[in-house]
Amino acid sequence: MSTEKMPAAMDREAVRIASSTWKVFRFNAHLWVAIGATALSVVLLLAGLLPGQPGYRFPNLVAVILLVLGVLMVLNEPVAQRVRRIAGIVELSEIQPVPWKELAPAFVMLVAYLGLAEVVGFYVMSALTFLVMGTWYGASRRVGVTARTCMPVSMSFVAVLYAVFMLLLNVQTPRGLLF
Amino acid sequence: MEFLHFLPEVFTTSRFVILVVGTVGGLILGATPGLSPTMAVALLIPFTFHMDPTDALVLLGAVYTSTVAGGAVSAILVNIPGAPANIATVLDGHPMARQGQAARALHYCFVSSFVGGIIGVLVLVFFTPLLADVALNFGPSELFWVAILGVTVIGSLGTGSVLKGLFAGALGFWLSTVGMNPILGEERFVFSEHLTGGINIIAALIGLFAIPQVLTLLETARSGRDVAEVELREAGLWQSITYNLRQFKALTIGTLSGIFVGIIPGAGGQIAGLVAYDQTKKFTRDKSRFGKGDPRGVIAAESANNAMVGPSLVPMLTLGIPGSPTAAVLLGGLLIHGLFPGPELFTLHPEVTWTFIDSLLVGQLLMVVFGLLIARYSRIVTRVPNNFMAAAVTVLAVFGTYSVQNSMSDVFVMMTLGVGMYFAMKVGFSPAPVVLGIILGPIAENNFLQGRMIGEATDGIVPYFFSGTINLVLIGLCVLSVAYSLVVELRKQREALQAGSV
Repeated sequence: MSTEKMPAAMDREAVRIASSTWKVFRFNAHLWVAIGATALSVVLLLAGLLPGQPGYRFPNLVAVILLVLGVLMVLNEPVAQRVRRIAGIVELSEIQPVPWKELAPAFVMLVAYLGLAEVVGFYVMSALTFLVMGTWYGASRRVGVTARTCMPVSMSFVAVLYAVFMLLLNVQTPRGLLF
Repeated sequence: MEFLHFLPEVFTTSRFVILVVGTVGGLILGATPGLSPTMAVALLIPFTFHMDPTDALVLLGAVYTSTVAGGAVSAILVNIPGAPANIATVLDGHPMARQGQAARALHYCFVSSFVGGIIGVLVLVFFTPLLADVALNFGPSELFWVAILGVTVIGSLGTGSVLKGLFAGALGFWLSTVGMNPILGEERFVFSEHLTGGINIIAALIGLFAIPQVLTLLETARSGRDVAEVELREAGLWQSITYNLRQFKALTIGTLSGIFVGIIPGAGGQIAGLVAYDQTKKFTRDKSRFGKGDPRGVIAAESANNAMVGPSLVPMLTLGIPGSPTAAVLLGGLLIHGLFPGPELFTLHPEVTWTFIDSLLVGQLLMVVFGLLIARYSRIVTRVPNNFMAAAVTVLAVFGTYSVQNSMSDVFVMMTLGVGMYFAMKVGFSPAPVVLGIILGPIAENNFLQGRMIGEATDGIVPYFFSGTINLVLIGLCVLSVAYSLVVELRKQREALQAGSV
């Protein structure tokens, strides 16, 4: 890069950094977390105040404390934001993104597991969940190979659980359609 | 010397078998990356439900002790701390392994854990009765403040942000009020049929500690674990032991740091290991080897995190304030067996309490013996892939929760709390204050309501709760823990500002 072109390139870089920084501060995740916490405490306080019963005294006291802490978090945010800006911390240190794409199948598996356990059967659904989760999240790209490894592991694991919970601890689990 | 009187109780055949199984199982669980001691103890509690309370506590104590020591195996061999307590062990343990001294590092780890652990349990033996005598003077107001202190300390000292820690603790208190009012007997906040019985402590413990861990494991499961294989060459055991014991300075600093951090409620093994490592480095003339495979780093960190175990139970057994997150889970285990922390634990159930403490002492010996024996095979455990680990923990969490009351509602509550905690952790909240809030909530509420009635019948509510030496000391400690954490947070902000403005 020639020396005349450098200032223009540096300006563009400065604009790019400033714009990305602005985006981060425009959507200040820390502030939204503090607002969310305050909103939650308001909901909890209202849930306790509406019945108007004496048994709600302690939870209402706790809800007031939650509200105070939530408001303090909101008020503290401008100071914390200033510190982050001056210190040059652009990334949101405490806040990590949720890898939705990676975890969406896991949430589906968990919902299916709990939703169908009583219908299909506790042991069958446990073995199925182990098999599907183990296969889907295996490091190998060859699903068939992972499933073949996962099958005996899931069956043995559930067999051990059956021995411990059913035979040893006498825990009766929902049988459902299968087992 | 009650602890000597109850020592033979540890050696009854069935109890000794339980102790051995707990120790070996704990070492294996600890060595498995992704299974923290807190999660291991939480998942184990349902298995102890049908056991005699003494046997249950012996098993949980053995697992607590040995998972902390076992966590060093994966820290040394694969550069992944098996537990947060082993973070400092990684710094010199893994470089030692890469230099072909893995076996030696494992020897140092178990011998140092033994030395630190024994001294830590002796602190528990001698300090607990003293603190229990003080706790004899506690009435409802003092017990209320003790519960508040527990949540305040773990919320402010044990988390990154004071406000978020305190918020999480208070939320735990609120969650504990769901269900039946303990004194008036009316239902509260039963928004769904699944909440009729309130939030079961075990369901909350498993959900809050295990489910976020499962989801975290799944985040990276498909990319596989980047494990750097190290060679495990044989090393002379006696040579390691004599060298280890000659490192008196590192052992002393490690043990003292562990004891000090353990007694402070809420601090935990992670801080103990890091403080010990840092202090040993400061007091050593030649610092150049630290971080490159200096055995003193391993010795200091491991003696500290095991020395922390005994003292972390001192405030837990006497006041109900756990010294570490795992001690908080252990407190849950104590409560479900109908045992309440405090002086009565020593007067009404001395056989349970002292046998448990004695088992920790014997467990240290078993830990070093079995640790050294299985160290050579431990590499197998560190290879368990994340997908299997996550699937196994999920199924175990569901079965464990269901078995407590044969209730699917508990399972739904466990999963909801766990998934919610995963998202909360992503925005900087910790599970430990929530758990402690749920555990101590009923204690705080019962004593608050009782104290209120006493206050109304005597000098008034405010004088009842805010007068008396013990009350004032406890309130002072609450204020002190919050103030100290705020000062630390402000200092960090100032340092960041100074660094940014340069």
